[in-house]
Amino acid sequence: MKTMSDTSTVREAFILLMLSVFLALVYNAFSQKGLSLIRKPPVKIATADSILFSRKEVQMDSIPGGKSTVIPPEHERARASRDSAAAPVAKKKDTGYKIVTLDQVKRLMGEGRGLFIDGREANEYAQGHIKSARNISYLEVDKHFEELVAIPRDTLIIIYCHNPECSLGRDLADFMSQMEFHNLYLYDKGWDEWVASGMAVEKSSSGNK
Amino acid sequence: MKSILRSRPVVIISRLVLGTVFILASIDKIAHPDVFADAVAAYRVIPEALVNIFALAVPWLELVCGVFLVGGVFIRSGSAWLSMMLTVFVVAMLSAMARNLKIDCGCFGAEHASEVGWARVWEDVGLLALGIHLFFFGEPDFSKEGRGRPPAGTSLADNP
Repeated sequence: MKTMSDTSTVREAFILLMLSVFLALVYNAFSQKGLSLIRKPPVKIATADSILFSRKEVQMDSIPGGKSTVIPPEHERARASRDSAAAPVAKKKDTGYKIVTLDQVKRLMGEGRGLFIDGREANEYAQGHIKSARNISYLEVDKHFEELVAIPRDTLIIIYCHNPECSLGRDLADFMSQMEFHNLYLYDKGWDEWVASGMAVEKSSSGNK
Repeated sequence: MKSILRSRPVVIISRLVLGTVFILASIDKIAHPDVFADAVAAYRVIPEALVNIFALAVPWLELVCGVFLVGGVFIRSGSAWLSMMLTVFVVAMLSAMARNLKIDCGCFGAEHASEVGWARVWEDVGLLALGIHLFFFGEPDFSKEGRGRPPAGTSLADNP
């Protein structure tokens, strides 16, 4: 009888599995957010220096809480510059993440360009971060929504996390891409490489400054 | 101790808690499969190509098992599935922690994102205890599972 009971449990478990798989496939087939059954790995695209460093930029003082040099939004004046009008879509799941290297990050910082966003958690940010970076962790992205809304959509933004294994930076890039930020770059090797290279770090008692 | 574990109120509470938690956990994952797939991929424990199939099937298995548990149907098999899934989740989280991955646990979908850590591990261990309890002490008389099933060594003819 013990065996019969076990057999019955296995049969029922199989029924549950088949029912779940059936419902999942039917839902996926009709859902607007349906996924392809075979997933492709995230595409990372190296960014050429000519894309990052050959732009005319306009100094904007309107970014709340920041002094970054940004590219103006798309309007007639901006269209005169190729920055805004031709700014490529930085991150889409079908086009990939645009990756910047340590050298490119150093050069951008040296030129005072770009808005740096630390995608790690607030306590990790407080222990040390890249100078002038803001902290917007994907885990608390809703709290920062209004802060993000206030940033011009074609601001040059560099997001970083711990290292290429850390998904929080990519998740934040996805989120900001959906908000139509289209000048996003991912410093993929992130904080770990920054510290290992002996670069300057800044500490903060607050997580969101 | 066994009599307490077998008692109807304890079993019902265990069923309702485990079933409800998994129903709630599945809804956002079903609504946003792409986000859950990203969360699964971030663990880097299953091949990239299989991530979407896993991310599509698991939330529905959670929902179906949760609904069946709350309804008192297929308790043993439902709790077995949930226990197996919880074991996989715990192992995956420990693996991520060992590799120092800072990732969203994907436990309750995008609406309640939280980083992998000991708090999430202990939550799942607590739920796993409920799953194991239901697997071994699920109340057969109260649920459809045991309804009409003759005791060991008897046949239906003995129970007119």
